[in-house]
Amino acid sequence: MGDKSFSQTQTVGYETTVEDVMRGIRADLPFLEESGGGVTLTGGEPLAQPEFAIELLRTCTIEGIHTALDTCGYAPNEVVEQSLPFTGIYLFDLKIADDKKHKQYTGMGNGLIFENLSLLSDAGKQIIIRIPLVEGITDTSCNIDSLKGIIGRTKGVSRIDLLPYHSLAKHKFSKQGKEYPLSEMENYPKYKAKAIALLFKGLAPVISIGG
Amino acid sequence: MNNRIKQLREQSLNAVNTLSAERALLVTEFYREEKTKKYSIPVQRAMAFRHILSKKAITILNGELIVGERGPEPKAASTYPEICLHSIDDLKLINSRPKVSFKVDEETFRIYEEQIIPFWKGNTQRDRVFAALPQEWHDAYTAGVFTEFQEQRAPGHTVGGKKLFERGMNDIKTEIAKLLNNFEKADNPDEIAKREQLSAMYIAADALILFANRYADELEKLASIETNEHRLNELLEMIRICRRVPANAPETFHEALQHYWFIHLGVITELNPWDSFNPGRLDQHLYPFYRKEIAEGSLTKDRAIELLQAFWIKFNNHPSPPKMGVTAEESNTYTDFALINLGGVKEDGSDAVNELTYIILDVIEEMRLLQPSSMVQVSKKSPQQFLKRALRIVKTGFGQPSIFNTDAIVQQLLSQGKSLVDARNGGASGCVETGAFGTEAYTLSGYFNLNKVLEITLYNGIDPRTGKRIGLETGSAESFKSFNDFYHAFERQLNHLIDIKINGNNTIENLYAKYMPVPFLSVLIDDCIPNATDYNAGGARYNTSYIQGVGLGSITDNLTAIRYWVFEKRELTLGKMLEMLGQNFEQLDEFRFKLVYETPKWGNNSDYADGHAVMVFNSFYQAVTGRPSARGGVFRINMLPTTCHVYFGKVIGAMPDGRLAGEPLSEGISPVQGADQNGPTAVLLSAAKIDHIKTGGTLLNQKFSPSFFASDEALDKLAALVRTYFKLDGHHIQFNVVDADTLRNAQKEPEKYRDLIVRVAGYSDYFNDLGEALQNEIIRRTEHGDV
Repeated sequence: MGDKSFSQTQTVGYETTVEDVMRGIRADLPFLEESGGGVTLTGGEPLAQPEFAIELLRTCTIEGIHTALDTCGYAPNEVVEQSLPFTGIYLFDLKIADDKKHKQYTGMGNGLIFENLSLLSDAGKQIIIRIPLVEGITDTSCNIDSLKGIIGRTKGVSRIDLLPYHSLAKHKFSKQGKEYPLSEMENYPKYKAKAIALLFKGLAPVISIGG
Repeated sequence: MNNRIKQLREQSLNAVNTLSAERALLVTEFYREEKTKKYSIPVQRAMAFRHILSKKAITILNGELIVGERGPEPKAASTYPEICLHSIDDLKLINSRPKVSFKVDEETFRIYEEQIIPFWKGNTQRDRVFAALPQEWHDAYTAGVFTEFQEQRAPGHTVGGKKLFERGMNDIKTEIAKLLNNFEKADNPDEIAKREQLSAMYIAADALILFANRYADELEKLASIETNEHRLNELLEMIRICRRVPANAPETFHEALQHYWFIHLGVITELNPWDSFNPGRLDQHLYPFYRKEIAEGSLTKDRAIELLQAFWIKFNNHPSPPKMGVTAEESNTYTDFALINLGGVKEDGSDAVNELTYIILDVIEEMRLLQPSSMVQVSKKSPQQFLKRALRIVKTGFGQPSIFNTDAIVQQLLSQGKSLVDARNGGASGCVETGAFGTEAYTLSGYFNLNKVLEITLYNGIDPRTGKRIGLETGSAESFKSFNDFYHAFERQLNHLIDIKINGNNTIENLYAKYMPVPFLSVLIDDCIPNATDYNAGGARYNTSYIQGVGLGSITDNLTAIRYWVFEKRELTLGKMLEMLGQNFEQLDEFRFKLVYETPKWGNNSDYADGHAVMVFNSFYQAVTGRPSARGGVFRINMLPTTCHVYFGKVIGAMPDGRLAGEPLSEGISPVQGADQNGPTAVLLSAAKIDHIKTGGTLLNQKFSPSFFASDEALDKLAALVRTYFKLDGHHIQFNVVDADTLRNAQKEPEKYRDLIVRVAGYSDYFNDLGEALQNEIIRRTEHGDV
């Protein structure tokens, strides 16, 4: 319609069931078969709704549909363990190696996250590491060095995605009537991302910018 | 591109569109002669054609390799007063209108006032057509229920086949002369008519040779004063070529291009047929010449590219003739819809992609011109690199090439009764229209406003804009007890209005057969010569008349909203809904919000909504398909809008899908702008629910921001999307690749974006040449596609 100049607030998202979601996935099978693609659970944090997420992953697996799980890694070990048999690829966020700083910026420490990462490593899963690049916070040489160490100890890392900060979320905040806390922050410069990509060379077969 | 091509291209881009009285004056001169009346109508037409070609200015531009202009200079558009006459007021409007204008100089005004208007006033084909059509047709036409393609332009909608490149005009004349022997003693009207038709074809074929020789003469003059040896040799070669083709079948690559170009000019000079003319499967037709000459060493790849580029520029020099009124509304563009086909399958069903296919794709990308338009035919056998090469050009954002499903096209043609070979030699032309190239006249007769029929049904046969009765009395809004009752009333109105359209079409087809034969076009399309029957009278091997349905997305959402809120949720009665529509939802934001955001919509793979698309599609199909046409063919449907969804929207008030009065309708079979919320796969799944094989073409527009084309991996994904849609029998898909900010800037500072081309619907156009409503619509479309 183009114009959304209505006075009402708009509802975003809806409640659904595994069966409903599966109906949508099955409809897309012709596309998945053509492209060799599959289903990726992303979010928010899919593991914040563990029962739903795992049931969905399980159903896809039973029906022969490839699965991927995009997670920040902050979930109880048992939940991650339950997801193991039904998840083809993990897209796993690594942000800050220092526990205190991690807590400062994300609200939680990173101990559980690293436990889960090594759990995936030990289980022999395929992992894509995803690192947001935020100036002065995640891109410090100290942090990059520590993250490299962690990745070096992890088996099965097939790719590292560097995700330069962008402000696309701004309009989502304003749509919700919220103030955007990072309005001063500039988009992360491309050349810096390229330089950082060089530092990760050798740690994974593919290093990509933007994922 | 080299300097020569750069200059010619610049010249073409910078040329101002003008209206030229040259052709009008020559055709008037011819018909004014008393002796003209002695001849039969077909022979008169052929002689008029010869008169124009023997008198018109010969124009050769500096450095040109392919020669021939329709008018006296690039972008000087001819007029066709025997079809439709422009008044002085028309000329003033054409000269000054902000979009798709043609400059008219004082001399032209004077010629029109003193010679053209006095001679043709009241005697044009348009006058005959409008006088012959009944009042009910005029009422429906004026209300915007349908448009009429043949009111300002002649039927065309045909494409050259392989044979075009295998025969010269002399071969054609020999064939005609042999047939004429059979009619030496013609004594009954039917035989006399055939004799006259064949005589006319003979004259027309001969006239094109004469025209080419005039070019050779002029080239000789230029050669005689040429001081540059390199150019002199070029001119000598061009003289040789213009003396050889189109009289004889071409033997070299250069000859083949010049041969086609003379033929193209012949078709668009004889009359002003829709979609100009079109070489069709260009990579197939040219490949034998290319391969032979490359092997012999008489042609290099670079020279072939240069010649193709020169050929491309010739198309760009030829805007569509000036249109007025409804014709301008439905097709508001300089583009004349020559759509080059690449790829597809060969006659034996094998993959047709060859080395030249890729060379032509390079030319398309580098030339970046509005005309000719281009498309790729993708079959299940097409190599992936072919599709990806095409997508890489799409990414550059000028809307070309569009992508077609060869397997669907072949199935469509087979289901219409064409032979397997004719089907495989076919393709799509114009916007998306399926045709058997070289053998079929597939005339488009006009757009049909499905949503206006719905509006008329809601108002019990009355057009709410004028209070005039347009349709049947099928019951007041309050009287319908169920959705099926209501839909039944809609179907009755649809059948009634389609009857009016088809009856009108048949009247018009008869008038064209009688008064406007096209002997030149007839020699190009099989089997007009052996049938001794004109193209416009059913002489072609296959004859199809199309009615183009517009606004499938809008009508689907309208019907869905009615079923959902009135007959299922019972939130309001249909009468109450009508009241809201009458108020254009003023002060009714709350309910409009529900209609827009809380109602199932076409394009989301919702069976609930999509079911209505299938219903309407099937009703439309049943109302039209298979009905006999005056030319001895049948009527069929396709689903495309050009720019007509904007015009059709203007004549409709607010609608149950929440659309405000006068806003554009959805285009092609695409969802209503912004209504698709579940991503591209859902759009394609919805679109595939109608049976594309039953149509002669459908148009689906998908908007992607450039990021979708960013990497090789991304291209693989897009290719998979296309392949899947085609596996589901989708006919065509096109991509618009520009971000909304660019478009907004272009609206603010048009002078800085003169080369900005966007995909409109079935064709691309300069953004600056679009009306503001359409510009806004494309911005909305694009915005929706962004992040």
